[in-house]
Amino acid sequence: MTEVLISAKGLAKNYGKKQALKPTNLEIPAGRIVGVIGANGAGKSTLLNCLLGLSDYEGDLQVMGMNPLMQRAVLMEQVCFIADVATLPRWAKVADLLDWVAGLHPKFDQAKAIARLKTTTVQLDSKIKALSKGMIVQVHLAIALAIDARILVLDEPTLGLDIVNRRGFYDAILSDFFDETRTVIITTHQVDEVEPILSHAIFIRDGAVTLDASMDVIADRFLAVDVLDTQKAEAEALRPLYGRSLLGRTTFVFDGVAPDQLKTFGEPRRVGLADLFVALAQ
Amino acid sequence: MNKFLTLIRRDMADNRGALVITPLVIAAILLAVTTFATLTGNARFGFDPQDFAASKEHRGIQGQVVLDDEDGGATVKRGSDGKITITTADGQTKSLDQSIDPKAKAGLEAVLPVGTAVAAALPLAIALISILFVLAGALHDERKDRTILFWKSMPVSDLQTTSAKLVSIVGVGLFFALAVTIVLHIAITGLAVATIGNVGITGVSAGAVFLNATKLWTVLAVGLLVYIGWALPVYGWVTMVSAWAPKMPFVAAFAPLFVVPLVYMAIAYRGDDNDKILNALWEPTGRLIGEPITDGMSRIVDGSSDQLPTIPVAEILAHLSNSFTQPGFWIGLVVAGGFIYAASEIRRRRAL
Repeated sequence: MTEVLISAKGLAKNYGKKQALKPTNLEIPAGRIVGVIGANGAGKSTLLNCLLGLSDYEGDLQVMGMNPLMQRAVLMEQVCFIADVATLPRWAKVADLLDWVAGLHPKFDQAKAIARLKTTTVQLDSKIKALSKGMIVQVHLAIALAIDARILVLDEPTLGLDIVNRRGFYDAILSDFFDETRTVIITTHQVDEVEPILSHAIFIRDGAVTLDASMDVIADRFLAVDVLDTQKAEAEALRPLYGRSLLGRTTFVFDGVAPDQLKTFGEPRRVGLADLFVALAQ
Repeated sequence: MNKFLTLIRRDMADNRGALVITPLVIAAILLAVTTFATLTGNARFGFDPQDFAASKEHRGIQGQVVLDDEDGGATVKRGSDGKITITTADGQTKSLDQSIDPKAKAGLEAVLPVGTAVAAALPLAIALISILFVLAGALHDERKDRTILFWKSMPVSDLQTTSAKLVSIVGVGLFFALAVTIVLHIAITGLAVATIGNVGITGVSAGAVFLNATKLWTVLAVGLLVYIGWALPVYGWVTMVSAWAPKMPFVAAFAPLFVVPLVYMAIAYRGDDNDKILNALWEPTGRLIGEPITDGMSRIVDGSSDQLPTIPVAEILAHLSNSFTQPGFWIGLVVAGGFIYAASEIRRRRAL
């Protein structure tokens, strides 16, 4: 049986009267790459902050069998996270930063991080503030990938990066970190870029989880089909989640309708996560 | 322990400008000014005859000073070899060395390092002020620049982080400034000893001067330790406010320490110096300016004023160690512990 790394029951977070995260149940086992997808302010970062012990919460939450809020220091030996590109101390030198991480993290392999950075244009004696955004991400990535963690949490890790750096970032996660014993959790606005590597998706809207499913389930359950205007009424009878009219045809997204039923309108196809998120938001 | 030392190294690097560079620069400037003054002659002579004449309304004539007094006056002159001679009204000329009795020279061995210590203490004095600013920003700035998200991804507790910041800024910061002060003291005292020789005073033992200097360093080190103990509740308070304040942590930390007693004085103070409420309100400020240490200290120094000047190390150390017998000292440490714990809890419960 696959080990459950994260388990939440009734996990909720309030900021005053505002409920940033409504009571949520989650179970994330090892061997998954989970995309947490939602609009700005939907509650994605709130959820991650709770998982990382960065903010208090209500409900039961276990990460690696620990209470993140009370045992964050111990938990961080097993969990690594990259918040965004701007969190490394700008006043520090790269080499000093690696020294400090080596002194603070028992599972950090400094030689591995240095070896990785030597394949980049980052100089070890450079100050962080002298590096470009792409180089800073390389430093952060080198640190993260040199930590022997079980869970890697990425909160908008590639914000502000060009497409080459973004793709290189995710390629490195896949090749140098991920295996069946580890889990990666990603929030990003660039849904299309991470979709090919995700094994699961969690949609959050207004603080509530609206979908928590594997990509296989999503592929089986949600289908899109382009319907001619002449068949539109017939298709609407199958109660699509969403419809978008364009150039004389309407694209409908269906939930739980058999492919054979949809083939009368056209060839059913998988729904992209971005389209599905919009569909579920209607 | 390794983690704690790493945190201290990190914090020292973070605050290198305030904790390391500033004391060194101040010391370098002081030393340069002192050396320049020594080499250019004013200090070599002891005073500038022209300035002396102008300020004291005495006559300055070609490198000599004529002193008018009840005994008929005297002429002080610097020779071409730099030595000072004094000619009295009856025509007798003595070297400066002959004019100073051995008892006064022995006194100089004690007084000289005290005088130079006052000058050399500037880096430490500045550090005592600058660490308040550094401390106020310690837990605030990491939220402001979002680096807290990186540091919180390390397996280090908030209590360790908070404690390390306090130890590095207050402990290491102040004792580094003390070390700079001591090095500067050695240099300035050395210059002063050389100057004494240059103006012709003999019999002042450099060894004795530096022996007295080492006594002063002991007093300074112990005094600094005791001072930190008394001031720790204020440092703890500032750290807690730094963890909490949304902005302007320095103002948020120090405004209550000054505003509250002033408001009380404006509303309820009736001129009673023994007003217990007012004394309690001013106590944090008193601790910060070293009041518990300086109280009674002047008695120790004044008590030996009719004797040959000495540095009463034993008496001063005994006075300092009295702090350990005072409940207020220990209560303050407990309060400081509470503030530090509160700061770590505030940091633990918030991401930014």
